[in-house]
Amino acid sequence: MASTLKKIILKSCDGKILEVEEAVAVQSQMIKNMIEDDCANEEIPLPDITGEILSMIIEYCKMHVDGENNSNNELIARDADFITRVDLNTLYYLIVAANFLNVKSLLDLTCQRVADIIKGKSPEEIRLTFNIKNDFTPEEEEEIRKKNAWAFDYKD
Amino acid sequence: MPIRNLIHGSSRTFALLDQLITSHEDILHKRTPTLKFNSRPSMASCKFLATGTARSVRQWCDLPDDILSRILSLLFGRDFIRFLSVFRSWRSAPPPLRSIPNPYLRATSEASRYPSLFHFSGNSSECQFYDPFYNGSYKALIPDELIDARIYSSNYGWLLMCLGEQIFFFHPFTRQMIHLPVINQPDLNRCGRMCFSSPPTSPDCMVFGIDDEYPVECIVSTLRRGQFWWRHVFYQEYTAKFYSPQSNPVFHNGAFYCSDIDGKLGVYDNTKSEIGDWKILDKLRFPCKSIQETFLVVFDGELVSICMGPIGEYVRVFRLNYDCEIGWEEVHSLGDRMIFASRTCCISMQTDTMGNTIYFPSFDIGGNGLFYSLASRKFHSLVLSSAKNDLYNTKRMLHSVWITPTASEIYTEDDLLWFPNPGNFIPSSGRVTAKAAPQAYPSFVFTSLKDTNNQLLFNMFDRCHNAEGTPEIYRMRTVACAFGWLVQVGLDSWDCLLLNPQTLEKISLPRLPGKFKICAISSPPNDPNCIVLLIHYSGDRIGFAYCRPNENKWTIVVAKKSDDLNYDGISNVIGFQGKIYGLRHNSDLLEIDFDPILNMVRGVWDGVHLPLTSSLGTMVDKTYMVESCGELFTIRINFLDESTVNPSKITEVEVFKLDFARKIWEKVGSLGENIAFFCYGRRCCFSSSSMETGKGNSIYFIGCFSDNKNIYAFDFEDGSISISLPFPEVKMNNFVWTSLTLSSAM
Repeated sequence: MASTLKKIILKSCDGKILEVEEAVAVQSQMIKNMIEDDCANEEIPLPDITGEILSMIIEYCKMHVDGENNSNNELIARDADFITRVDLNTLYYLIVAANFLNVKSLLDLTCQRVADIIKGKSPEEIRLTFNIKNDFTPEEEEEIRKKNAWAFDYKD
Repeated sequence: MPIRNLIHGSSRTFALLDQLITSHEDILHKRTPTLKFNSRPSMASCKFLATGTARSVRQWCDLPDDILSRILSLLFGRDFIRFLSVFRSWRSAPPPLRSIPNPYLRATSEASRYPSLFHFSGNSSECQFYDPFYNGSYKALIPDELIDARIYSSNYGWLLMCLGEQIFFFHPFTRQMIHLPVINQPDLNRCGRMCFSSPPTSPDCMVFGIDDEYPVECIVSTLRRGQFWWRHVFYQEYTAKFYSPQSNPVFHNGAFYCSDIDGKLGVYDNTKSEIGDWKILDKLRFPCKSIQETFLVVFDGELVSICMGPIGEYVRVFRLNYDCEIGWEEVHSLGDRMIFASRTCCISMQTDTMGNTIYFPSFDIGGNGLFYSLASRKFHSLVLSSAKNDLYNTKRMLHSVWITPTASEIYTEDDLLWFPNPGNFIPSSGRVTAKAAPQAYPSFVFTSLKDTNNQLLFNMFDRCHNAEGTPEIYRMRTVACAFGWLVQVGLDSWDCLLLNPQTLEKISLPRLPGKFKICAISSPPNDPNCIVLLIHYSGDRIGFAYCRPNENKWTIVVAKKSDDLNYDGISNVIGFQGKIYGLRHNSDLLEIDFDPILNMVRGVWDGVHLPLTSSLGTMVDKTYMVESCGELFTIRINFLDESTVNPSKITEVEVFKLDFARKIWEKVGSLGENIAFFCYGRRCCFSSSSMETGKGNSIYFIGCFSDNKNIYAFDFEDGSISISLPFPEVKMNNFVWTSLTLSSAM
């Protein structure tokens, strides 16, 4: 069967059309399910994913399909290379899209990246990094600090 | 289309990313492979970064719960708590399995209250919490004054601890304390075991302690919240020993249970009378041979005991069967429950993923926690796929306890008052660090019992061995070791010589005048005043024989034992600054002066005693004295049992340094990175400061215990004891340690 040559057509929310080989597309559990349910014969609209993000995800999936025969370490190095080129803004959309498309390895990679960014930072530094406004009152903050003195006091 | 063409550069985002990448990792976690970025991205790659569009990054506040949960599952310890303190909605995510006190989950998810292994070295204020589901540890601090405090037991997030005569509860997460009245039972303080029935802040909390002067009597001490005086009840019971069980008493169905090593149970029930009812179920026996440790635990409403053989050779589980005749019945599976076992506290609980396992306070050399699976009958960690059949090459944390982090509460002052006006708490003195002494590496020699030509040379760090006999030490054994020299005597002859194993320099001494018990060298043999001293004592006589390396006969002095001259219990006789010192009864410092004549009358340094041990349950100790870099040190190993040969009964290893000016022994908190002490056999000990390749800040014990083949290492950094075999690949059945030599540092 020539299924490997079969193309899946994806449409981003900003109207970009991307043709993807089936072997690459099935890295997404969601698309795989659709193919199995025979719902992927026409273009698949992806309402929350921009063309830019979608291209990155396809690039990532291709890298994994092409790299199947490579050593694990090599793949990890490529993943690292991929994810370090991503800024925080893009990282957010990648996570959301990977979650929606259910690309497990990418979801792991992106969440690990967020965790790595968070590690060793104080809550204030985390807020600064992710541009989050503090919504705790000073009293609440004080209480949290008190109750978790061990988590806030220790300096390496 | 390559990624780089899709996105356009912006130097602002580069700066941000740069900052992110340099953010450090402060936690060792092992289960999830973390991406390591060896270098910052080069300018070339950075210019392709980022969108540069005006899109705000505000969206991070709105991350869906399932993604938040996923990120949270990659964090633990401080990072976990800090993550939850960033933004209100970030706390809505269902949390992963973590043994961390999580104030946001109060009351909502009792199910995720898994214990952490709390451990500290006993030498510094740094402590660690090991999360058994994440296989990672995070560091925290205990108050400095608690460094010498020891743990009796743990429950409800509280530790019951003792420091000298003070007994108190300590909450390591909030660092709050509840002081208890002083207990006027010094032995209970030192050797007894204790536990408590309910949270110490609750009005019905009762503390139970037991000390057993087998075979005379046993003392049960109890204290309820609000009481000022401990109640001590003495029972004349001769049938069981409860003072040395490694497993703590447990509170079960309104009674306290404690277990003897062979399976007998003591039950104290105070529901029936005010004094309480104490009985011993002395028909109970475990059907196991050479049990090394037992752990008592309340398991799904039943009393269960875990028995462990020597160095984890076997692990078996028994439940107390009340049906018809009372007895221990073997349990072959724990179902979906797991047990967290330690000397101080055992917990059992249900788990979705790790049922039928027992976690011990042991770690492999890589720092991964070890649990025993009743399905595979092996020890496993979450990382290594290869399982272990026993506990060789693992380390056991000496001061450790499983603690369940309750949703952390700040307790009010009233909560923390056991009774009005608690006594003042006296902090202990500070610690000192040992200084370096330039010396060499030790090698140890194994000799085959069958073929004495067949020797193995064991170097601590290369683990190299050679099968050729070393002629210098052929048929000899080491009786003393100091200043880089060994005193070697013949195994089956009266030959005696001084050997410098680095230079192979040899100084023959006159043939031995007879048997002796103790040998020491006063100073390096190239010092003209160097004296080799032999001491023998038997009955009411004490004999001294001494000679200088250039003399051709021993000078012999025999004296009658007197109050002033009593060398009973003398040990650890070593040379130090031209004089010879020893310890009597493992504690009093004794000085033997050779100037102008052998002066042994005014030998005892009044009042220079080793401090009492801070460790709990110590019945007996064993000491080694060693000279290192112009200072005198004493190593003391404390044991749970009456004998000093069973290393699984070690409670603590302590090191003291003599302050000559103030005439006191100061406790040493660290030897320093490059220093190690090596204890060999019953008395030899020496120090090395050239530890570039080996693990410094440690004490190695070789041929010191009954399991002669193994090497034990005490690590100052984390307060652990590890066990290894010198040559795992060689069958060592017929070999014994026969000698200690020194090889050059590099």
